[in-house]
Amino acid sequence: MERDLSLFTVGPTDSLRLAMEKIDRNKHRVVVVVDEGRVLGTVSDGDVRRAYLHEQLPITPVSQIMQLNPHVTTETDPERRRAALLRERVTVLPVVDEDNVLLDVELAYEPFAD
Amino acid sequence: MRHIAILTEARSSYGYLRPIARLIEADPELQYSLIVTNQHLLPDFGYSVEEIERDGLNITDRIYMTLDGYTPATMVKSLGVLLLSLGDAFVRLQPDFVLVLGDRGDSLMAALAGAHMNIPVAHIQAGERSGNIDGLTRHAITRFAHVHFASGPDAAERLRRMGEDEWRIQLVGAPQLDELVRGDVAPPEEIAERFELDLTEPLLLVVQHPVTEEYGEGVEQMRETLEAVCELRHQTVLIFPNTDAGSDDLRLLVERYHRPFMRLERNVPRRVYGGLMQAASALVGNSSSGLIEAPALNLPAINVGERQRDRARAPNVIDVPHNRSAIADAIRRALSAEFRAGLANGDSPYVSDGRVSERIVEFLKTVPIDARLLRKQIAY
Repeated sequence: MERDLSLFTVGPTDSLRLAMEKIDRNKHRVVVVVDEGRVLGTVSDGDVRRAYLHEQLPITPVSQIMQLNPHVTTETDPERRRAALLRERVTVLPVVDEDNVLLDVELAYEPFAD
Repeated sequence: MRHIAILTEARSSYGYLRPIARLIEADPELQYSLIVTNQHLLPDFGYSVEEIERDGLNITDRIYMTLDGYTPATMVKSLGVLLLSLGDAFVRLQPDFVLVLGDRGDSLMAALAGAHMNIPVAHIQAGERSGNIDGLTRHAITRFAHVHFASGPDAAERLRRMGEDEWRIQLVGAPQLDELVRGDVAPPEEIAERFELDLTEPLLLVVQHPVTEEYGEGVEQMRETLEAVCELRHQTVLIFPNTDAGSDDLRLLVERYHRPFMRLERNVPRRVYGGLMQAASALVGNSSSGLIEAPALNLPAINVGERQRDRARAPNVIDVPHNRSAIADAIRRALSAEFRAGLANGDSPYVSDGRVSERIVEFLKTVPIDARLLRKQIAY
């Protein structure tokens, strides 16, 4: 099944509020920041929380607070992807090609039912 | 008790003000107030005020000044905000001395405010040459400063020729080298772990800022450097540019060029930056650290473009234009064993014996604050 990535991605100029909304809806605590298809970084609920503690506003663009060096994988094999995810201990592992273009996300948990 | 107000606007300068603040703290006859502004207070630049807080220094003022937009006009307005705020801060703090450093507009604002309010101004890194608006700013600070700390004989001579009184010129050395000379930097193991690096392989450190006079060209200039880095594919740590005009576009470009062999950092503590310089195989870009600090570590520096045009340099510097193949060739040359072997210890116009900060503090403590100090005449 093709995963709908829209709930897992935001653009660099999107707001912290939008990121938090998507994190809330995707239930995986993280969104990937994507520009022209390429992964720029990630934003977790913890990143947003810390940003608010630093007096950032809901309208602050995510590019100001995103993690710049997220773990990603270029693995195509599902088992190896899974292994990479477990190794990095993240809830969402972006799957990219050689040019850092986002292809998919590997998820640590199945989403909880609403 | 003599009270010294210290201005810091960015990571790069904070690192060598810290030892000075510590020495003041340890002296019962001195006290200081740290005024924190500009980049330190911006999340885009890693919010480096937190490093100062962790160090436990006495921050008395946080002056938010940086207007969004990062154009030449916003730079000017931002400096205006700082100048306005410093007037109030100095009224409240009533310092006996204002201590500034380098060649940035922020320091010029503090020198202007101090001189107008009859507070003597002391300037670290006075008299050096640097290109562009920075060079003009440095010598403008000299006009308003009452004490000039020179990092080498060349800088001291320039101050003399500018007509500054001999007794105001203190040849103390370069304080930014104190910590390097004393080895107070993050060890290689810490650097390897923090940035996930393999230090048996070549490591490039990239720091490239926009140049005010070349506003609008910064993105293409950065693209040339990034293309060279991407061609070579060595592991690379890239640190984001400062807040000067054009820096926001540069940051977006860098983010788009992000590849798995690169680490991007908004900001790193001075101690870690020293460790990175020590661990790196070459420094690429237009940071002054390639000319001032790198020679002390025998680190080759590929100096790109005109930003450091007039600054004195050691044999570790390879000057190149903004051209990807020239940059790539220079990096290859810098990584060669022959080049590295040719870098002799201590061969640099910037000197330190690890005690520069002590000399600065001693002078601030003992120079009489009187009419002679405050009434400047340009002798030449």
